[in-house]
Amino acid sequence: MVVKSLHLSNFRNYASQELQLPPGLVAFTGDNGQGKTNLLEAVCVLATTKSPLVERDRELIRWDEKSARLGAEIELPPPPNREADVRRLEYSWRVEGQKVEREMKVGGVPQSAVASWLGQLQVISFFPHDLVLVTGEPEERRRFLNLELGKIWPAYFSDIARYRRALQQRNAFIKATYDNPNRRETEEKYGSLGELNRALVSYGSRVLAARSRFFAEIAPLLTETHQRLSGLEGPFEVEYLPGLSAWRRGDESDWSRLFLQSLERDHSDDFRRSSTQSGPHRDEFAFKLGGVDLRRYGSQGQGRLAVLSLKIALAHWVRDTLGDDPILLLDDALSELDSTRRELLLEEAKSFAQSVVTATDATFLGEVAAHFRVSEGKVEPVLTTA
Amino acid sequence: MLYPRPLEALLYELEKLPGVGPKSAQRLAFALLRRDAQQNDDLAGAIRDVKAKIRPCENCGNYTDVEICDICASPKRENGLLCVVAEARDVLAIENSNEFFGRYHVLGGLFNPLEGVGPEQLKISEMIGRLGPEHVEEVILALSPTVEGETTGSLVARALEKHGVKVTQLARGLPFGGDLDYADQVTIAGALRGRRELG
Repeated sequence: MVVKSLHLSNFRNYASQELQLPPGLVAFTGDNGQGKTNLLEAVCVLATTKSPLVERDRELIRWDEKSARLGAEIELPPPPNREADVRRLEYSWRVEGQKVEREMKVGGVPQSAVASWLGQLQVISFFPHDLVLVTGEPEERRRFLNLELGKIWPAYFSDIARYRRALQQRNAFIKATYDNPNRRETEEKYGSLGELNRALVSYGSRVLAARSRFFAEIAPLLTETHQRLSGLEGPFEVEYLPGLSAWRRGDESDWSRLFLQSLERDHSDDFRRSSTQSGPHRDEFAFKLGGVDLRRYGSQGQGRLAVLSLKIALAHWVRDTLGDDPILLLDDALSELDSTRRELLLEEAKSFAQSVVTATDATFLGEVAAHFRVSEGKVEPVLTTA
Repeated sequence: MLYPRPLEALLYELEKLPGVGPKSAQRLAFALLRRDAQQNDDLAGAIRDVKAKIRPCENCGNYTDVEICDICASPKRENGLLCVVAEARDVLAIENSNEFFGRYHVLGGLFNPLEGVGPEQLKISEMIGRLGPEHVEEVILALSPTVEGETTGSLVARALEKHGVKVTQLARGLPFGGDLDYADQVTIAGALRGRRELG
């Protein structure tokens, strides 16, 4: 798919901006703090309802304004996808006292559920902040997985939500049952923990299976992408580490059974700590270059290349899975690469139906479909084929 | 602004009701003030009566003003078919469909450790006690498709395991009268998982 036009009003430092974008490589250049990143952020918000950079929606609305709006026209590939060729997305906020009300519309029809909004616009983004995927806490990596897999498999989102709820119920149950003789008696009579385990395993095993399938499918794409980008032959991999005590490396057989075994194995531990030790809420994954864990031993440059490889491999995976190109957004991805790798990355970006990059200057961009200069919340075309 | 004490007391009580905020409480309170004393006495009487006279049916837990509710007492109701619901208000929802002619059993809640509800607070043994006398052959679980509803469902199903009754649950999937392309993806994914053979 391709973003044909983009509209921003009162979003970040933009008062009102209308943009027509061509397919191919689109570049935004300008000094720091002029609003290049905000444009990519706007596309991300349209794709996922969430900013990849800030938690609170209030921060997305222009200073002193009470409302903001984003709009885009998305061009879908021609048949076999025979439905409407152009999809209109609108996303708006209204500040009501302490609260921010939002509204989402597809083709003018209001959407109530985030689940029905996701997938309308498929975007894979890289922001310099994404380095936390390598260096940060496991929580960051699980959040990445949930968002990226939920965008492709909507049922994954509801499985995650139900899994969390079942986990809260189980933790509340073991907290209340521990050193309470009455509770233990009813537990023996009804086997309630068994039922909670069953609920946890039924949602959790679907999450585990989805993640494991994702890592298996993306593995060859990752190795190829990293080789193309880095020019290095050394094997690069992202290793899935399920948070199950009964899991052993290489065992991907039956997630329900592995999960249930883990719960049984952790039984006394769970009661002692009043929380559930095993489950996808403890999942992790590790970036490994030539067998070495980059979180502990990698350099900043290696980490950056690892994250870029992951994002681009992800974009290839989305293309293979959906049969349509996602839009690739690269924020300030070029500046810290050497000239060879910069060119390799731009080649990679050009292989997608549309990709958008930001840079402080245009000198090393090469041939682009459009080039815009960004200055103080205004965008001026330098060159465009749109 | 301060109201006279009796009005203040009324507002305070009204605001405790579900769905009644300060504004609606005011509107209700002033409407009550304008009405005949007789009308208000009738209302007060009805409120007093509902608490004094309505109680759970001793057999099924549904609301009733006699010992055994009309549904349990009705000879027209099929023996052998028992529909398990969480709350008494769910009985009304199913009754309104005019499609069910068996009897009900109200559990009195859902298994919800977060809110301190364990299985011992649910009327599961009372349900087991009805199986024999009422010659129950099938138990239909009509519980919400939430995590709590599903956990309660499997708890009840397991309690029924050794009693030789058929256990079924309400189908989950596409809503009637809706277009397929208007259903959200999660509902469609769930309906796909729960698909069944035609004919």
